[in-house]
Amino acid sequence: MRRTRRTHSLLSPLCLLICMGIMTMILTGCWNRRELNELAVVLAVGIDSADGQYEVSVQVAEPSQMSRNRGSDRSPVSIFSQKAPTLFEAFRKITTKSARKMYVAHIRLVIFDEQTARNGIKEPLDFLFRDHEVRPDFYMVVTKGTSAKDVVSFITPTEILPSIGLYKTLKVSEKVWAPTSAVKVTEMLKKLTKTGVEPVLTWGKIVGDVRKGKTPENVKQPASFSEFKYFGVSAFRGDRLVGWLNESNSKAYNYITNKVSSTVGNVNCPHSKGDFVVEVSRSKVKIVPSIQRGEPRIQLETTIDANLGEIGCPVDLTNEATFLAMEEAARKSLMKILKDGVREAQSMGSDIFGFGEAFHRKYPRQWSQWKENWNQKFKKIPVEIKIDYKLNKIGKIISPFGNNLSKKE
Amino acid sequence: MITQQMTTRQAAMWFILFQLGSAFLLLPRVLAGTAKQDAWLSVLIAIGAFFLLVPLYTAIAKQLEETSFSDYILELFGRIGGKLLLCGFIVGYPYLLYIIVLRDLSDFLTTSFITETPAEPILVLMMSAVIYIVRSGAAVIGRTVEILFFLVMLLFAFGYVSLIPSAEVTNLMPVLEHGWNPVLLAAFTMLIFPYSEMMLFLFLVPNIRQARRWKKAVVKSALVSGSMFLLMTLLTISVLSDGVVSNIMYPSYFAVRTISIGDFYERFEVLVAVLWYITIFYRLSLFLHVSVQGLAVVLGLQDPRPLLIPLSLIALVMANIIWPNTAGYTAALQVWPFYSMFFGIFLPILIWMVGIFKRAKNSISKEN
Amino acid sequence: MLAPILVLFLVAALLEYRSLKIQKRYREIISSVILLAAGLTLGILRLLHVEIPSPMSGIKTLFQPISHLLTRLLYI
Repeated sequence: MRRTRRTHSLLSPLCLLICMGIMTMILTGCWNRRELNELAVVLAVGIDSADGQYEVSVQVAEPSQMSRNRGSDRSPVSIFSQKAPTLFEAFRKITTKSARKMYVAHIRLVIFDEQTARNGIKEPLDFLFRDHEVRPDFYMVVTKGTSAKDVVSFITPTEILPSIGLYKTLKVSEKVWAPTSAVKVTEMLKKLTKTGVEPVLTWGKIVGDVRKGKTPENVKQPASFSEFKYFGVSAFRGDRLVGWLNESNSKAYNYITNKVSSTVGNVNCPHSKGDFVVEVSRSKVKIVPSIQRGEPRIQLETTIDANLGEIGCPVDLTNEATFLAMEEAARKSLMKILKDGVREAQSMGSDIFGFGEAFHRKYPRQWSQWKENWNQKFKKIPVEIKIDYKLNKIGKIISPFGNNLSKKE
Repeated sequence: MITQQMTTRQAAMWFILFQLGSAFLLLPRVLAGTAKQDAWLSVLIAIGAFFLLVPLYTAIAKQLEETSFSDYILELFGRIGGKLLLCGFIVGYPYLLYIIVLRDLSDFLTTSFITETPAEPILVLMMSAVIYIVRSGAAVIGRTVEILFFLVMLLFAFGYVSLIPSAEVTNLMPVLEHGWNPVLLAAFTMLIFPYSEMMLFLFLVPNIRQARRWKKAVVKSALVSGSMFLLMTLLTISVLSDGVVSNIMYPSYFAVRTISIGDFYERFEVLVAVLWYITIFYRLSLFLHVSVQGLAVVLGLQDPRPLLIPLSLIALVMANIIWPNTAGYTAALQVWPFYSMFFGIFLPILIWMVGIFKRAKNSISKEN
Repeated sequence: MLAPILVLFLVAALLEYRSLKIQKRYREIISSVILLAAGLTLGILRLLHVEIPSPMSGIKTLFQPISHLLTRLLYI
């Protein structure tokens, strides 16, 4: 098989070199180029409501402060803030104050203040969903008490960049402490489109002196003046905030939605004063919907594997009966937590657990009748909880040391 | 012009990349819009339905023997009628698809990556590669496909297998919530686009010589690309839910954006875009190859190569005007299955039947 | 942006015609020239911002009734 050769000149080395030169120029994507020194990397975005507009505050990394030889006088981040009717406008308007254009691909945290959350977050979120630069891997948080701008201007210990500090705090805490739960964009998207489950957002507060927390004084001595603390989750209905869940109720939320990887809870000792602590290693809750006389019912089947973590009462753990009594006490305590959590959510009228979705999956026909006013039905749905609690290990020592101390002399 | 040879394996790989091309980005959204969480069932049904079409195409391939498809149409319908039919077919199907795919390419790149670049330079760069490879012939395409195929498979594995940990099976339930009708409608859409475009593979029969081997290539490619679609649709819907998938422009791309394992294995949606870019290249090369072959026969030319540059120029200009905006695109997508059905299903049936009549007539006249 | 591209295509086509002329393939040259002229005309029309109708609108108007009919059928 022969190919007919075209004019010889095309294949001369000079031509090839020219072609390659042209291609290197083209393939670098020059049209849409953005040099690194034109970018302001946005780490956190705070959205406040102010006079019907949004006040957007961005925390931007200062690249000169991230290098090794840095002067210690400048802060590692800068805050820019701007009021505008919509988020996109605010971002562009910030360039009137900032030397660079905002580059939003590395946002770690988006913070809403209470007013914005109550008015509805779907408008500010539309920009974050729609823009092609924004990636869906940031967390969303609501603050109570302070404005989002304060949180964004906040200085945290441990991490140089405060928003990375907040991000990591949330990430680590989510894994080891049940009440905290991190909410990412994909989850929010899913819950906004599904009718049987309402979204939640983590909520937190600046604890301590807010004003001093925004200065470097905050981290100049070991005890910082204020810190940002994550408390739990807040319940939404649609895209509006309806209520805050306290620590115990947030715990119930995370248990029921199977977000608990490991956590710790304290239980009153069965026969004496004092508490002991269980460390939950595995937890699984199954939401079992059923229909009785045309009305929905929910049964929560819980399986918990836990270990004893800390014992503060004088018990003798070589005795099996004591062990079982402690297990029973832990079970009762968890039962109470779950019941209270469900009742609180029901009083808010927001199905954050996804009971509706459970009915949607199992009884689609009835669900299509109920879904119109599911939140009303949710308020009255009877929930039965069954817990299968297993205490397994007790750690390195058996009975607490010093049990017999009071018996001496 | 001597027809160049491709091995069956190369042809199968080309066909696989061809089918992955546009469908990769668009199909999950279209399917989930109609069938919601049962979109994966539509994929299965579409694959099954496609295997019903394969005997039809194989029969035509057998009738072709050594002639090319375009010459065969001239044989069946006479010189003038055949030329008219062929011209209408080429302009209405492969060439139109070439234009649409070009527009798709520029839309995707300007939506997701390089928003400020105008569409023309992107298209010119892609088209110069396509023109060059079509000009070099089918054997060269076969050889490049062998190299790039493994890259595409690797990228696909990287991107989609890493989605498995974040998949939630509950997003796929309840199964068959709205009954079979939406599933069947979605399956029908998928059958037409991309599967009935396999009809264009008939143009490549001379390059593969035997109809039996052609059939093997087609069947293999349908199985492989079908399973890839199935995996991709299943994973995309179980990671994002069906409500999200039907509302995002490019859901399979967005799903890969959400992968984040161990804080370092993240942000490689760009690799998926590379995968898509490569498969689009093979799609464009097939369309252009078929178009110039057919038009060369219509115009009575021996060598189709001079037509490449003018046709690409027309396509470039048309690509910008083919629909004014995204809403027009969605509307076009609605009617596309019915338009494409003509060329993908009715026309082959017509050709096959006329072929049988002609053969019967020829054998009768031979006996006489 | 379109103008330099048109020039580019023109140059590429002319390079091609050189070799074709040597082989005296007039049929190819004529059909290629006609198509090239069509392409250049379309390009120039676009440069002058003249509105060119798109074939998709024609296809849409032709096929919309069938599409409506069949979707309604499959939904019942």
